[in-house]
Amino acid sequence: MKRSKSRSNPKRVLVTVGVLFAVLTFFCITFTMVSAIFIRNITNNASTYVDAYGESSAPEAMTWEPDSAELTIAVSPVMAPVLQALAGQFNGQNLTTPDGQPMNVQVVAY
Amino acid sequence: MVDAALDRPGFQAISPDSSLWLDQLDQAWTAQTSGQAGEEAAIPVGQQRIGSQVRYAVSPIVIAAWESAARELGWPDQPVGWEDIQQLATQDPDFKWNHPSTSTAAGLLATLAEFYAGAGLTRNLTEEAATAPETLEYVKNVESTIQFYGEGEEVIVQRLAEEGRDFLDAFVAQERVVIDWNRTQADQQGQERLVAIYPKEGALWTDHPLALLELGSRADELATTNNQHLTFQAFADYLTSADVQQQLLASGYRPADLSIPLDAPGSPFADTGVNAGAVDWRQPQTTLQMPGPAVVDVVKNVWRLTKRPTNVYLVVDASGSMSGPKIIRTRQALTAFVNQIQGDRDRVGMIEFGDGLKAFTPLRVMDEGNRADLLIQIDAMEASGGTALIDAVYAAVADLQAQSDGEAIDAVVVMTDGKENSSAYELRDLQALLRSGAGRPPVIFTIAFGKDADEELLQAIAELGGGQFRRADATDIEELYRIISTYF
Repeated sequence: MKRSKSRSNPKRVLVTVGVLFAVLTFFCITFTMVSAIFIRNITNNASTYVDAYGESSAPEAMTWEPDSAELTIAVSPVMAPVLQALAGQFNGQNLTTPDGQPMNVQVVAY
Repeated sequence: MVDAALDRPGFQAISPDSSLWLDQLDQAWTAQTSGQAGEEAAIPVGQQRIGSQVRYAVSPIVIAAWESAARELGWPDQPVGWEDIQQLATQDPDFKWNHPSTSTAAGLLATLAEFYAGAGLTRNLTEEAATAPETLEYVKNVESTIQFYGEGEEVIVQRLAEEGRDFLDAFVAQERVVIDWNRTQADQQGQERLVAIYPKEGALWTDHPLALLELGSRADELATTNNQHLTFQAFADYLTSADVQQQLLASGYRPADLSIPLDAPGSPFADTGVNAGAVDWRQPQTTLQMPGPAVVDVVKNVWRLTKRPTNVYLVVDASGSMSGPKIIRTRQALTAFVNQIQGDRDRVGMIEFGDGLKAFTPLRVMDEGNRADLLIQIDAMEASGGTALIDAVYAAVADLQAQSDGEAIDAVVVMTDGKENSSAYELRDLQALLRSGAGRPPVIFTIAFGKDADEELLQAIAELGGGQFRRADATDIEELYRIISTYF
């Protein structure tokens, strides 16, 4: 019996390599995405824990618009009730800035 | 407030009781910005933290006393000073007075006034005068009769309303506190009046500044807007308007506008009404000069040498229910507490309890080595076992009483998240022990950590120890320990 000689078909090799490359690329992308989600979840969980127990998370900064006319004042506890009442009266005047923003005073006891 | 104003604050203006805090903020900001501290430090023009400011009210620092207690001191027939308070408190151990911690305006201004009195001055208190041996001896004698330090006037007033003269006979406060008490508690609730004793050696004043913060020089914070500047100016004008100055007078503050008569009909300083005689617009006869920031710093530092020392036991629940986040937060809170105790003569001990006493660290002076040891022990705390709460408190009280340190403030700070289930002693045994001591019993502060703590028992223990019961959770337990540390 004559042994048939196997010869590689260049077309077939190319297709096989292409398929292998596609599969590998797919796995790489999937792995990267899953890893990213996993790492993000870990980070989020850690942040939640840190926030809940007040460790070293950065304080959430208060934000305001560039044209804000709202003024928040930190006041000593003894003066706070008096200044709160006066701020209420001041706000009741409905003053506005030249560009039409309402002037508003908030008091927080510190 | 000062610390918060340094780091991306949630406010654009501040109004502390005294401009002393503005000086402190300036100093801290300069040190932070320039990387230097002290008089050499400077920051570029335009990068100051504090912008416009205005003063809208004032109030002198007085010794607020029950009218009956004031008469025991010789009021109103003779002038009363710091030394008179000290003498009465020394002769009569039942006479209780305090001033708040120097972290409050009233406490710091009263302390400065004591240093002035000790130096025999009314102006130009220098570092040399403040640290002279005679001055320190004088202040030490006055401070030795303090019942405890603690939080600001608003907390004292709250406890006075609950406990009356059992709590305190006299305390340091702004004059306005006396006026407000007489109007709300004496007139409306039938309580005894308070009167303002203006120290004969002279007094300092709270001056209630309103100051705008110039935010935005840090890359990570928003700038104060032009419109916020306008609102600040409008509100400052409003506060200093004649109508509002009258309102501030009616509320018990002295207006910044000196043209307003203080004794007009309807004023709290008038000769009629519930405050008649309790406050006197002609007083204080002598106003002390506010020292500069450097002298204030020196006084705050040397005050630690003159203040009444403290013996405090931290009694800490390390039972199984404390496992997880609770024990982590407890370690942090205890660490903060230990780091706050800075007096050279203050001693701290710690008792961990579970099924029984798991660890007993006797009182030790908080020098560098002992502090480090205690912090290591705190860090090593683990949660396991039952809750032998009463046994642990009993052990702390017994040790304090055995030491009989009459000079110090003896205190126990107890924290638990659960219910008593393992003690051999009962509450009545603790009561008997507290009554058996020769001197003043230790003050006991109790903290219920979370919702499952036996609040009834903790309240009863605090009551037995003449202290306070507080609630805390994971978010505020560290702050609570920090507050309690101000009592010492």
